[in-house]
Amino acid sequence: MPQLDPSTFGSQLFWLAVSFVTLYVVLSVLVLPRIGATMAKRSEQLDGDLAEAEALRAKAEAALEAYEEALAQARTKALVVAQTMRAEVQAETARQKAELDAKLAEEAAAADSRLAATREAALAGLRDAAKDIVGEVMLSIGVDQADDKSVEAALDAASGR
Amino acid sequence: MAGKTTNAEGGAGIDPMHQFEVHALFDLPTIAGIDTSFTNSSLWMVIAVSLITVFMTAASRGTSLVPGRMQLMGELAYSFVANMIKENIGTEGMRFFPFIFSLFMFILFCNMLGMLPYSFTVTSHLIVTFALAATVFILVTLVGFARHGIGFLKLFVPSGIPVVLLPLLVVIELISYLTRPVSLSVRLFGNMMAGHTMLKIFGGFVVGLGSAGLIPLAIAPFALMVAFTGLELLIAGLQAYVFTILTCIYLNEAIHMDH
Repeated sequence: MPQLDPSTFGSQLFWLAVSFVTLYVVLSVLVLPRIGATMAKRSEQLDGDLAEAEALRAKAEAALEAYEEALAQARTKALVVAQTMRAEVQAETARQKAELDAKLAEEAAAADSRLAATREAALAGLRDAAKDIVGEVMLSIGVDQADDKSVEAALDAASGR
Repeated sequence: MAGKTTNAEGGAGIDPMHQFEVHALFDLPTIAGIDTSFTNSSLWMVIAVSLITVFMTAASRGTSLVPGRMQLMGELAYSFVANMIKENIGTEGMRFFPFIFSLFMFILFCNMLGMLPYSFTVTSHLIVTFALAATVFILVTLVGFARHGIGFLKLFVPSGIPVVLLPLLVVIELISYLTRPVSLSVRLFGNMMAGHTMLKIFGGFVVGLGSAGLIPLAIAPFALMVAFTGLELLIAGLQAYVFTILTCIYLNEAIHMDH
């Protein structure tokens, strides 16, 4: 078994030490730090990107929230404006109606009073005419001069006053 | 070792152990009593280290956010080992990341390169796997004493045990701790050597039966060889993983002492 030949041990150990130490130095000084740095940079970048995405998402959500709030505010404002407008219109309508009512009532009252005056005048005219007719009739039947007072009394009695 | 080429390519035709022989490609002077000859074993260690360096350098060249092919493979290897450490030791284990990563890649590449025909499997030699395991053992012990001082010895004293049994259990714990480098190295070495020996033996059957004109009979060992090659590739990866994860478990014990 060549493995048990001690004469080869020295050279194998020497070259093992040389090659392994060389490998260790090359890897630990040149290669591994670079790979480690690249991988660390990558995970850093990924973490950074994820954090940025998270921040952007939060920002978008905040914007959405603000938009919804503004929308709700606008809706409330619109409602208030509509109510105010309705109230104003109603008040105006009521005022105009009241005005019109008053005017109509006034006109009706005026018409009433005119009517009453006319009726009064007509009645007065009628009474005068009746008095004249009575005077004429009495004259024609020979009563020369009837006294006004009795005629008036008679007329009053006739007209039911 | 220089000039030592006792080749056993003898009467049996194919020697399954021949593939494990270490022979010098060119001799280098002995430095401070250490034979530094450049052997086939050294060659494949250097090839493994070069390939890992080329692969990982190419993988680390790309620093883009969306990785390319090479970059992705490098990052997969990186996060595979990093996750292994985080799951078994925790984030403080990342201090040992370069060492554990180098260990994993070195064993994985040596195992995999050993699957190439005419290559040499560095990890099929006990002295190499033992050196790696001993490095891990020394590191674990140093880390344990550095973190807990003399209290690290409590690792060998299980809690909630009758006092009568304690001496026995302490001895058992101590032995199991001290044999760790042996089990760690023999596991890897044994798997690698056994698999390659078996492949070689089956290969010998195929060649032997084929050259004897019994080609229909050679089909069975050939099919087995194909299947075992797949299995060996799996084992090559698995043993690199097992060695690394045991290193993580030992380190975790030294750091947290939750026995």
